[in-house]
Amino acid sequence: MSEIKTLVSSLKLGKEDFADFRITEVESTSLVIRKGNVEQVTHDISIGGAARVLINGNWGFYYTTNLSTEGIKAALEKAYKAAKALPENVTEKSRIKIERTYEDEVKLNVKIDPRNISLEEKVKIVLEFDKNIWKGNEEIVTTSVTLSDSVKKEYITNSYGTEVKYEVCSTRISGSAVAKEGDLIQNVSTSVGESRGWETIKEFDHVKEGQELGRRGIELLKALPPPSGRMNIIMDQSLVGVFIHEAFGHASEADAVKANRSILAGLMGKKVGNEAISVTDDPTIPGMRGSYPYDSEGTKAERREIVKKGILVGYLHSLETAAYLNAKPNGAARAMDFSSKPIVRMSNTFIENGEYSLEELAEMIKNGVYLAKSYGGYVDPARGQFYFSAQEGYLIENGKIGNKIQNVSMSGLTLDVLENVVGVGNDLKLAFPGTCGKDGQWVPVSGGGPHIAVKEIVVGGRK
Amino acid sequence: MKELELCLKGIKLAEELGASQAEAVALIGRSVNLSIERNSIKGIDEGSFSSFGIRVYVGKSIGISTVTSLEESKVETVVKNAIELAKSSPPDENFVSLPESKEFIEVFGLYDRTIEDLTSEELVSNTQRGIHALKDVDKTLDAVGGTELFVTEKFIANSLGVERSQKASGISFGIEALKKGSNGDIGTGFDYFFTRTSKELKFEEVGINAANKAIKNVGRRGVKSGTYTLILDERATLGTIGSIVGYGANAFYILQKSSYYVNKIGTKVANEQLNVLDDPLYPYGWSSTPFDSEGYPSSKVKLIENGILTNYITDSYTANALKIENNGHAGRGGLVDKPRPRLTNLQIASGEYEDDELFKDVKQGIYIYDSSLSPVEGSSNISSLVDYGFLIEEGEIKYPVKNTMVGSTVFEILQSIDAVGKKTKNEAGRIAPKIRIRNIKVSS
Repeated sequence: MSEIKTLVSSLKLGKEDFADFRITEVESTSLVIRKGNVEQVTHDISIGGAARVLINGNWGFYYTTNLSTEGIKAALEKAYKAAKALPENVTEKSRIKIERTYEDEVKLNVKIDPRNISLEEKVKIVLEFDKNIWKGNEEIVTTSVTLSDSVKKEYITNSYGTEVKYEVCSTRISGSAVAKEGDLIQNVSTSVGESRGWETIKEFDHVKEGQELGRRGIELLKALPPPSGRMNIIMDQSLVGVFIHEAFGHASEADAVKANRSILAGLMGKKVGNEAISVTDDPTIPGMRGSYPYDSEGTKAERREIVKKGILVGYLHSLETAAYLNAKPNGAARAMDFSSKPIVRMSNTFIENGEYSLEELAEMIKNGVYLAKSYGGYVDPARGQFYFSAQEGYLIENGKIGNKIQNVSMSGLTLDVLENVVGVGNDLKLAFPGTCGKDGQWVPVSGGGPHIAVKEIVVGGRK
Repeated sequence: MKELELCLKGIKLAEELGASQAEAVALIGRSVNLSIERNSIKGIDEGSFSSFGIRVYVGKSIGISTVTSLEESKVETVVKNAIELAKSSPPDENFVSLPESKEFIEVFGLYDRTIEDLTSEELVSNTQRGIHALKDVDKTLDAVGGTELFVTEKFIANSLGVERSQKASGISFGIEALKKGSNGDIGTGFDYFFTRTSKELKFEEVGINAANKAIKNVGRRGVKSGTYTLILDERATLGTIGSIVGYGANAFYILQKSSYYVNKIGTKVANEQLNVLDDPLYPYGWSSTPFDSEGYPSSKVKLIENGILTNYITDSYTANALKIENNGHAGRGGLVDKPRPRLTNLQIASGEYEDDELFKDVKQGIYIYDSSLSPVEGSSNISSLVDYGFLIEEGEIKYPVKNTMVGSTVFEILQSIDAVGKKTKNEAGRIAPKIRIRNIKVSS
């Protein structure tokens, strides 16, 4: 038994009480290049711990950068004192559910550890990627290329006996280009992010991707202004990733359900969308950006079905939400860093494959827009209203994909939109490597699906 | 102050290892956070932190390294890491120099001992007052939110003689109310305050405001797509102009040539009724600071005067590269980030119109509150969801809208302002009136 586990065990806790201590260490490096100029080169070590104590249904939490035995002991005592400081009548009582405990150590599982790659090699790749975006393209006024990698080590022990240590990697390369003509400015971007090692960057064709990005930026200067109004759309796989994450994923996070802030509360087992739609969140897919072996409460990560053939079948859970909704904890509690509490988060969220090709979807839509390359989005899960943006798109006329349009955003209502899906493609891809923000915490995620056709989406263009 | 001494030691070591210039920053602080869920305080979160970061230049090559510790041995490692990074990195041709030490003006009211001394029991009691005020408006409302208190002390030094420290404190409270309507529709409303002085704690007022907004937000409907007049409340005005000017007039994006305000100084970018400035020296201001993240004196900057763009916000890097004045607006996302110009307390001057005059001749409009219209990812296009808004017909507020979007450009939005309100809202130094914008495309 480790010293920290002993300290946690030594707290005076009742039968329904709970305590844990978590140490999170992240070592990261990052490089930023802008049109040939190395703007930023950084190395960061973040290490600290946090104690959580649940006593008589009240939570106390204390984080610290002092990880000496005394520091950890003091943090546990302060969390204990904080939980005790809440008067009996103040809180609605919380409880947790632990179905099993874990003792495990998961070492970093990558082919090439990015920490072993020299800065010179990293600089060479980003400079080449960057140059291929703007070389020969006068309209590309600026670029931004970022290469970042990090290794996170997390240790969790709790008063039920769990003691888990794991390491996970994150590598990401992204590029953006700003194309300008007169007062018109268009911004395009691309990125790849995974939990694999340096092999992710090695496999990224930075020359081709750079050239493609520059070309896309310039093309948008000649593209048509985006249309506005309620219309039929096809989304590419990256937009589907953001769409399902924002429109549906956040509402399936059980802390939102518990807090009365989810439009999906009370709908378990009920129809929430077209039967062609099945939605999954899976942190166990090897190498994906949102993958991890254990969550920040020490629960083993597992694949979670959220919607099956249009029926809501599951939520994402922490130990607390599982107790509240009488469900099984499924390892979805993630903390951004040592100073943050674990909260319910998505991992790799996607719509399962359907049966149609892109051309068939365009035929089904007849007239509308095909929107591609996501910028991101947000949602108000309580009211089910979401928003997301595309970098570019194409008009669909008479079932054919035609002229290009500039960037535009869309909005919709969670419970309407899944019902309004008219066709699901057969080309599933987790095409959106993103970073999701919730309650001030940012964690790596990915999203995707096949191409999807939806009717009656509000498009916020200018024409 | 041992933290400042640590910064100076770090700089000395960096110079010994080959740095031409170096800047060290140390941060210490603590926070207390009470979260609200289901009308109840869920728990108390507390913590303390210390961290150190160094930015070094070897010639024009940069290296930044940080660690969440103030232990001397770790600081030494971090300095060595930064030097190693800079020595392996190609030069940043835009870099000229870190800022020199210059006298600055103290800003009153950034630290309040009575805020630091608030006990957990007092925070619990205050937070409960906010929840009770909300529930007193309507027992069926459901509340989430929280109270946060922080105390921080930052220390900055550089190899050109900058040696600064600043202690600051603040408290904020935000609460969101949810109301279920009889037809199954859900209305939400939120309110908040943030302040650096214990004299401006508004727990009850915020609870009541959130409750009333949620009740009024029930019954949302779409509107007919078309051309509308927009009226933005004070927060929507601040958010919209902040997002347009915060990017457009940021010298970093001017240097990158990606801003829509490149070569626009002295030109008309907005209706002549619009006057915008940024004031980091505002007493008790939420974003006030006597010196910026590089230790350079902060200064008030007029950005738009009578619709004419007059200045950019700058830091040492952009000011040197563009050969313009450094107005002390360097800000940092975190220690690991290189500073960049940032808005602090944005202030939009009041106009001539009373509230009723803004609304009275609007035939078809949307009143946007507690949300804003922002450019899409640094482009000049605006394509924004109206998170909170009401339909206006014949000068009267009718019903809350849903699934409604605004499509425009940064130029059209500011040029189409045709009225600026007389009253302003001052939220810890961030000041704005209501504004009216004519003929904007709305889809729903």
